[in-house]
Amino acid sequence: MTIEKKLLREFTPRDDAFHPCNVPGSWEWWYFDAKLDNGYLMAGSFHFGSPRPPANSDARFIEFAIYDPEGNRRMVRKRFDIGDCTASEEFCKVNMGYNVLEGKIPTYHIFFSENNQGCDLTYESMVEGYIPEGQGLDAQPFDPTVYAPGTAPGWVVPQCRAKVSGTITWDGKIIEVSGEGYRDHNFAHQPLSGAAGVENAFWTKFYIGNWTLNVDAGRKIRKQGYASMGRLILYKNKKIIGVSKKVGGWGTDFVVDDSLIPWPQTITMTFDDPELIKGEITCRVNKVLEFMDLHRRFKPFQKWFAETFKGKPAYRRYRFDYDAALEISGEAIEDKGIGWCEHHKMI
Amino acid sequence: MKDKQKYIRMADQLGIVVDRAREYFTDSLEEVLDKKGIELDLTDKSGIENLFSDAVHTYICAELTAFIGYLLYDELKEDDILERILPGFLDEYEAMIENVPERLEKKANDIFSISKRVLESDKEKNLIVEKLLRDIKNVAEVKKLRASFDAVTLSMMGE
Repeated sequence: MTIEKKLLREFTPRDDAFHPCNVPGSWEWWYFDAKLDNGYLMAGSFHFGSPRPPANSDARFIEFAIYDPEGNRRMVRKRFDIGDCTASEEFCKVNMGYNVLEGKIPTYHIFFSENNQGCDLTYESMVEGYIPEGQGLDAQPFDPTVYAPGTAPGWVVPQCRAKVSGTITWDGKIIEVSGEGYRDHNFAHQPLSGAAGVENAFWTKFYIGNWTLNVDAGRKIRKQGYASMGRLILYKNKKIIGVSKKVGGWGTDFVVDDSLIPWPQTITMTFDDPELIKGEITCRVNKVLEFMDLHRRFKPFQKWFAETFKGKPAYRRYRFDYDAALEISGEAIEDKGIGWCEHHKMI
Repeated sequence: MKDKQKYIRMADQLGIVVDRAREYFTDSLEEVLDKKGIELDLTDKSGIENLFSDAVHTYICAELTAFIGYLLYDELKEDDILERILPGFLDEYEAMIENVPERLEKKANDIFSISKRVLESDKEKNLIVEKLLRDIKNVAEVKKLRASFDAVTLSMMGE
């Protein structure tokens, strides 16, 4: 087994707290999603600061989406005055209007309600929290005159897998639900404009029995030989047993819809870290749940220039059927199921 | 007239530089292919040189000129840089190009459409932006490099 200790340290409540940063363009979000036993999917995020260009650190909003088993979607984006929002710097407690996201490992509570859509959910941790070393409180390489301790860019995963219970509200109808969910938390000092050198990246989780995989799989741009890249955080039962970067992912069988930005009908994720995990997961997209043209807020000539010389970046969310054929620490694991992922098309 | 002669002279120099670059590229490629046992004849080399020129004309000439032009304009605030000097230089260079690449034609057509749409919109435009937009509308059909230059400059200006 391999544990890359340089990427791992114990999670603390402050890692999931607010990270105030005075750099213009800084932003932060607390993200949650769930795959519910009744076939519904849900994803939401509480935002302090807007992550997309043009960045606005004073923006406050919640995005919330529910998808029914047929893939029908209800999406709410609710803005708030900065004065109506608070967040603790000691632990996770975010209040935006009457909406709340709060807790400490192992229990979080999320309440959101707007336009007849919403949720009132409890997340109970099934696995330990994850934080890469060098982020959050430890971020020493960053200029201390710019970043207060713990405010440098980071990504933490307090709950990669959690038992979810409570209710969702769909068109005013309150539905009792249970399932499994995920929570993470990003913060950065500059707009989210895509990772340099990355062509495409697919991010998802697989819950396969007592295995939990948090996968970010993609490949680099043509200039870098389309080299595989990514990260896998692998859990067995409650514990992280390994973190590997020997991961890759790509799409095939592309289609072009009205957006004129192609998307793949098949996504392949590969793992090649023989001491830890080997194999492939093949995902066949059965529904495009979300689409966002990341240049949509660009002015006409900015958009033209970006698309002519850089590409057409887009964000999509897919629901898929997957086949997993893996060997984890010498154990053969096969699984089929339904999942979903984010597709970050960077160029 | 004096300006025109200056632009022609500079355009000539650019032509010399592009020619040298395309020969270097082709000779280097020939070396690589030779090691793989692939031989190039004169027609092949000529074809490769033309491809190189097409790439430079479609994606570099106007763009590089616009980046420098924008920097100078931003520093010196001289409209002439964007309205007369650099477009004049590009016009003379384009006049020397034997075959306008198909992609450059398409690029200019796309730019023309965008410019027309923006001009017809109610959005307020400052004077230099308006002039660049009108320049595209007036010249895009015949002066592709200039249209590209205007478009890239508008992009740098946040339009």
